[in-house]
Amino acid sequence: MKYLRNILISGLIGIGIGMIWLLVELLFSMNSNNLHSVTISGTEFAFWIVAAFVIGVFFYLAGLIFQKDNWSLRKQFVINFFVCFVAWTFFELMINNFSLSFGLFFGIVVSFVIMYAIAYGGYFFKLNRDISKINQKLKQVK
Amino acid sequence: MKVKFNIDKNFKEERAEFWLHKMTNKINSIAQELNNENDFVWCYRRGDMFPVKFSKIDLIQVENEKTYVYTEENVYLFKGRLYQINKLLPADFVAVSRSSVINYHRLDHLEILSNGNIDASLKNKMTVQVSRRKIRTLKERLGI
Repeated sequence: MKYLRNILISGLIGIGIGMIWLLVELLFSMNSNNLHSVTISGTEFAFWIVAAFVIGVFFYLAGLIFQKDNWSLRKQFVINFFVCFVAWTFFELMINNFSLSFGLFFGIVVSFVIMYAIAYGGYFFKLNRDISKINQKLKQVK
Repeated sequence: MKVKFNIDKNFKEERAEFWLHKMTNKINSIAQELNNENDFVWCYRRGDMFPVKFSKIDLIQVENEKTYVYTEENVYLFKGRLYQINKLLPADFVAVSRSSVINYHRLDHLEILSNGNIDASLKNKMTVQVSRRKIRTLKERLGI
């Protein structure tokens, strides 16, 4: 049950990040028009929701790599990064009809690195904060 | 706090359960009082057997497939597996990795190392590696 709950939460987080990404893409597509003229079809929006959910779940499952305690943190990061990058590249190629160009590949790399930095940067920021809270509490009870 | 007693002499086993928002020192003491069957564990040192009080234990750690019990003064050998001694331990003890259990009252501070690992420094100057996944458990035990 806990496992399912974690999968659901990670999917919902994926949707949250996906919606922010969609908003950024829509803002970039505005050009000189105002926000009222920007449109998105219902099908496209539904696809974004489902895809973002699946991506969130995928990142959670890929994060299980960090539970391999006998691997160093560097090894965990490298393997996790490349597993996620391969999956993300495949996804991007799929939605672009597998037509690979240098521009597309560059966009894939940049978007992935930014997403990865946000996701894991956030994780380690929280971890640092938790450790600070623990140390503060330990000082209080001394 | 609501308190409920179910009294029946036919119960096979007496037990108490607590339903809490978080663990507090007061509840911990009450739990210890209720669970006062044994407050020590038998360990070995230089061939002799000693009763080692839980309150004196800083760290229990598996090294080379043996379970060692560290107090401030000595190191003892527990002739059993970590999971076996885990069952005897009171709530003062927290597993910080698959091979280490610490007495959280003996914890001085945590430190993130440059390689991303987390070390727990105990008051006896020992350090033990903490799994990132156990940080949440530690927070809960400290009532954060």
